[in-house]
Amino acid sequence: MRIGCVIQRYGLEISGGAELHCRLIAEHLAQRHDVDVFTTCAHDYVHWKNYFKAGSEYINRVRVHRFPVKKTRSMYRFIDVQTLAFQGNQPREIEERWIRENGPFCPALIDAVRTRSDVDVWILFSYRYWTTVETLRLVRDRAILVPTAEHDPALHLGVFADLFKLPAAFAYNSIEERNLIQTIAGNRDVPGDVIGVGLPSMSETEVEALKTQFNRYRPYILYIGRIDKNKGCDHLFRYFRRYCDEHSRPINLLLIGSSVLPTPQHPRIHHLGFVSESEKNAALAGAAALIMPSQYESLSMVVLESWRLSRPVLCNRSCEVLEGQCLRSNGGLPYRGYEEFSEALNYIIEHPAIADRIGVQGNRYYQQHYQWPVIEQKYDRLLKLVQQRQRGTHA
Amino acid sequence: MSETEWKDIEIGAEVDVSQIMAQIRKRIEEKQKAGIYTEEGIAELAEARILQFAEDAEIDSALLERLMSPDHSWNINPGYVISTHRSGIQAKLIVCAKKMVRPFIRLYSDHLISRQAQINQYFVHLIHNLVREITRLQINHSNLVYRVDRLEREKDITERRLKTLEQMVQFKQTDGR
Repeated sequence: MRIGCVIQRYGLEISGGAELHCRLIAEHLAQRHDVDVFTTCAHDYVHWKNYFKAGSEYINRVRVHRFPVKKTRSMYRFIDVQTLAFQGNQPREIEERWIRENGPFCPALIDAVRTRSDVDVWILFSYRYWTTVETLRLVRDRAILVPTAEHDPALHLGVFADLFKLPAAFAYNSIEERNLIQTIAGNRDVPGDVIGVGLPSMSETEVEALKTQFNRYRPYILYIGRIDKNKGCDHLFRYFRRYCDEHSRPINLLLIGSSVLPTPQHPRIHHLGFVSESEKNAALAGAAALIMPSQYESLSMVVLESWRLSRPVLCNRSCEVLEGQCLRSNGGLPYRGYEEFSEALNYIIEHPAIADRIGVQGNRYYQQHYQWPVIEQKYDRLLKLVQQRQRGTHA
Repeated sequence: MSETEWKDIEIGAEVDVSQIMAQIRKRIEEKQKAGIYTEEGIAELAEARILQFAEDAEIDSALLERLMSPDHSWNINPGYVISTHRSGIQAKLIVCAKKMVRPFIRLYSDHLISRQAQINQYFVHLIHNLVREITRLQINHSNLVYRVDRLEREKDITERRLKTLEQMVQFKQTDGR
């Protein structure tokens, strides 16, 4: 089958969630299908400045076609339009303008999609970008939308309620995301499946070998990801410092990832910066728990990574997706507010055997839903469904 | 915190995390019943009250959500998007004319709108803090009422005991012992 993927940015050095999601799916589908990725030359997601060279290249056996962004995003104009669009009940024209200002505005990509009638199924990632919206309008009968939606004001723009009725099928990241989109768009008749993205499995001996590497910090909880206010890190720092003030227990907080928010100077908070994949896994394997304070997640890959290594998760239950996943898997404790954070952390530290058991339950959930064979099987089913419907329409 | 305070979970059996969280919430609730509220607890209560007031006033839920968010997207903004429902050359001319006029209008309107936005922001901040302070005072008040009640009960008991003891002493004296 010939598959085309559309994504706003693409590359080994792009670390965004949806972009990595797209790359992993494209690379896995390329093992059995003919996969092309259509993307822009942008590297930064703020201004969409052209960075990569336009043209085609192979990245991990996947053909990637890059097209130049015609107009960079002016944040002044974008915020101006956004303020108006998010006030609610605005004319459709304003909402369309928001999509265009959000970008990346790349008409050459859309022109290229228009010429590719040989592509059987298109997989479009992230609903909120201009490239996704325009491609969806063009190839709706052959499109699978991977919305990567979370609670954000853009989702409530009327234009998206109509757009969510267009694709031939959906590949959701979670049950909560599916419910959210179906409630907003009333599109229950559009087929779809909760799929997400997979991770390579690890043997028990590999996991055991990793556990001791970060012993000097134990006991510790671990945060992995961008250290940013949008990810709830400001709350995490406040809660953790207060926890340290109130408890004499010598627990540490380890942080892995780039820092947007300054890391507080505190003897029990350690920022390790960027680390290798094996070091990250080692830190996870030895952690008392992974902490995920973000309110806005459509699928947290680090939570899956934590469960792959049988480690429990402490997550913010203001995020429906994280709470839903923890409760379904029995793989983590969802907290809200300092009180619950403090008590949940106490529980994890005071009951190591039960914490381990919670991690094992998370691992079982990961094995059932997020191993690559499971993900590939689900995608194949969805691809066949879209192809069959397409043939049915043309017959 | 001792382990005996928690309900026992058999190691190796299926652990129900919702049950653990229910236990955690119950413990927090008990602390709060005893009047031990944290700043977050008070903030949560105050927020629930503000939401209730807004619901009573039947405010648009989208606006309410923005009012409660940490940014100030609810506030008025001097910026606006120039657009027209017309199309073609006429539309271009109208948009162009509006864009030419806009700097002159904003020269007079911006400072007024900005000042109003500042006042709005101040009042929202003030009202949120007032609700929080009232919530804190009401909690303190309830705690004090509870403590006064308890002291009164203790005083009654002590007085009754005192009376009984006095009667016992009198009884023993009249009994000739």
